Amino acid sequence: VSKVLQKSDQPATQAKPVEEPTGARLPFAGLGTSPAAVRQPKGPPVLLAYSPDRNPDVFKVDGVDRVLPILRTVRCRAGTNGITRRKNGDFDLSGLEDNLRESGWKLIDPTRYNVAHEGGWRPVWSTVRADGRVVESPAKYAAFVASLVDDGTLPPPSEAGIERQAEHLRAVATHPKMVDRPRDREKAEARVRLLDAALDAAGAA
Amino acid sequence: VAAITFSDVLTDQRVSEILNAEWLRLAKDPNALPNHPAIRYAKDFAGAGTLTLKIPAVGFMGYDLPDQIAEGADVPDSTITDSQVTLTVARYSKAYSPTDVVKYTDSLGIFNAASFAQDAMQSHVLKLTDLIANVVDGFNATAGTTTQNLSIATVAGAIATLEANAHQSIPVGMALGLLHPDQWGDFRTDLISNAGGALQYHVPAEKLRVMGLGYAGEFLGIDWIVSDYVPTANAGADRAGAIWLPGAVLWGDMSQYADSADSVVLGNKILFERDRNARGATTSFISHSYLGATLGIDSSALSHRLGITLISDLN
Repeated sequence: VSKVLQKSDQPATQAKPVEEPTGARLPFAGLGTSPAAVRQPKGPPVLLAYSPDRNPDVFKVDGVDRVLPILRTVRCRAGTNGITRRKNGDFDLSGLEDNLRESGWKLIDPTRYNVAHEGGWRPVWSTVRADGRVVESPAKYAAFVASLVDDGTLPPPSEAGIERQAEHLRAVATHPKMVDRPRDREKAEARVRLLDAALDAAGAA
Repeated sequence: VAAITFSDVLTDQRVSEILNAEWLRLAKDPNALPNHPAIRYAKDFAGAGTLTLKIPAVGFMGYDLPDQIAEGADVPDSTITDSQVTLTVARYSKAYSPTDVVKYTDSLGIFNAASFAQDAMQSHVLKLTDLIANVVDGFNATAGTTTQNLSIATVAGAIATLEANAHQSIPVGMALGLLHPDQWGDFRTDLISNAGGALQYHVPAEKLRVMGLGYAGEFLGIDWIVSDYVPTANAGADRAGAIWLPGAVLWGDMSQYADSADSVVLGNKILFERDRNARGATTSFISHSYLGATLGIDSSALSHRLGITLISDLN
């Protein structure tokens, strides 16, 4: 139980961003970014969005289980989710922002988690291998999401959301046939315990 | 796009031991999403004057019910509940430029206009599948948990949540479930163990013809499609498939027309063109389509959501 992290419980374990963005301009229009030109990126930037209505989940951050929001990854593709591409190569996100707002999402400032990489972009939770391949790290990603909660960019998961996810996983863990899948059952049970503890901690706070 | 030169194919496709009338298609998911009520065609942008349109969602046909009014009292005006979705389309294109040498020495019979036209047709249809798969990971509601295999218990919970959020039970044949092969494999394994071998996997041939080879059958009232285009989630830790009802996913395209002798429109939507570079002795085969997809009704404000994202282990 003591390993359940809420911001108010364990400030000493606050996660830090895994890599500092370079501050280079992203090829977006409609977000008030600087006019410096970046044309036709090789790898488009990634976008993250947060919704208070989405259930949180349990992620491991620096070896400690934490209850964190499940963010939405919006891939920068013209023609999807209201995104368009301007003639100069910039992505126009105004339609995306309309759609996100209409369905309760908030776009998280993309300058915080995209770094320039070989004429394109890569997320700060990725690493570049010796062969040049960019590989995302789920552990670094979880640390990054934790840092967004710790620095106040995102609110900690709501009691209602934690309760919904705990209820969902409780139904999974107690399904009669989960006895045939001990590893998955134990994982679900452990997460239910962590979510319940987080719920208690949130209630106590 | 660089031309396809003879030197490109000389060392790997034209060596004598593999000169053969047969060729193998590289193994990537060739199955597009089928026509299905859950995938709502919203707009042909031809003549629309724009590539961006707002699609209204209106609470008509019984969304808001009548109020009881006292005898002799005036009935106040009812407010129409509404929402809106922004749908955009963008140009998607590809071009192949074989040299004359490649075409004339072609022993496989594939470096020709007919093959490139077939490739264009399938590529653009699969692009739409790719676009739709990459929006349905964004529903507000989720089921499953990170790094855990998809199970029948998770899917049962997802359906219950979807029914509650959509304020309706799922009519058989109206909901579509889209899973990555990783997810489907775990789900199927769990189904087999739950059914004790009693459940047989047999999709009738006539349904396969309608739904395509990605169709994995109907189960729990949902038509299941398995696609490699389902994206990752949580930075590659998971896959994010989905289940959704009509109105949750919208897509649009644009009809095109050919206005030159070397152009032809495939299926009204794909412009396929031939462009001869006489000096370089290359012929380009170019195709364009205009496609777009977005989430439809997934409103927190109205508490009305028609889709749910399924998070499970990537394997």
